[in-house]
Amino acid sequence: MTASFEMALVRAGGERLPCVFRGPADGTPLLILPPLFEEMNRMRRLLALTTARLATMGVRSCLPDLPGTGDHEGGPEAMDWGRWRTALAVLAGVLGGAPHLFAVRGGALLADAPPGRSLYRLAPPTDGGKPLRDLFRARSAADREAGTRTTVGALEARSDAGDIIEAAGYSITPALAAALRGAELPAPAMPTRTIASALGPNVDAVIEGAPVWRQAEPVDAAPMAKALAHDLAAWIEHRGRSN
Amino acid sequence: MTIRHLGRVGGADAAETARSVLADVLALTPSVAHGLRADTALFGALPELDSMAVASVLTELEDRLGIAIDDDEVDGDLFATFGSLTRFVDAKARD
Repeated sequence: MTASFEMALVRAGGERLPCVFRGPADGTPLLILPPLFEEMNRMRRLLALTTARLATMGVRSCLPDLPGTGDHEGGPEAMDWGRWRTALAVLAGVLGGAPHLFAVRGGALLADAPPGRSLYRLAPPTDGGKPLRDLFRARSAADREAGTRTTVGALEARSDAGDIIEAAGYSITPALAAALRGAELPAPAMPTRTIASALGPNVDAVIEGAPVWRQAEPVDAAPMAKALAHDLAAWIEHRGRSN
Repeated sequence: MTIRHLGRVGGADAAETARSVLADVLALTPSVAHGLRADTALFGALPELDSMAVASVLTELEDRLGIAIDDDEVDGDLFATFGSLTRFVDAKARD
């Protein structure tokens, strides 16, 4: 029985991307567009359990660390929106052409970068301004704990003026902040299914369970992972027949 | 999957929205969540509610109510009690 778990450094264009692969080598390809910043930390276990379950259903998933994040060797300057887009586009090619795409939270902002045959989105933000404000809010909160006062507005002004802002363990360059501010949720150009914690525009179904991406101390992700894997597998099965 | 319906939030619904957000973001046990009353102290009393968690609660409230919360709307009193938070949610939902 071939191993169904693999960590690899994938050459994608000029990048070397740390990736976790799960599932059979000839499985249905699924490229994960990862959540951004601290949400990736919070969702790591959920994504591991989900992809492990998907692997038993014949799905071969790839979870990359975007440049400058996770185990990627680059520094803060590697967290570049254009570089992220290119990395995902080339990675899709490495996975055989147009894989199914699973966009998780802020990853949905990059969903028009890689070619794909279908798109499944989990709780996408309305635009890039949201994850940016989350970051600045986290920095503001951390400063408050430390006894100083830094408003989100002050951080935005400093970023505009050219400062790198440290927030939630990340160094946010002015270029990245500007890219996030200007990022809109792409209009899907392929069959798309959107799952969220509550009904809203463009939401196809609600997933039960507390949003682990919002929790400072994420609870057991197993129940949500099971529901997510089953819904995503059914979606891929429905879309997977070559068309 | 169960579909939850979002209606206009106000009055008793504001308390339930606040309760639900706190429970979800802070991973409160059901007994703690259901035990929140208007005079229950939050910030400084609930160990789960530190400044980082406050940021997450604000963001989740924004998403659920479809609103934006400015920095200057958030002072030390907002999270003083469950009642103060509920009143804030009620007011923002009515805007």
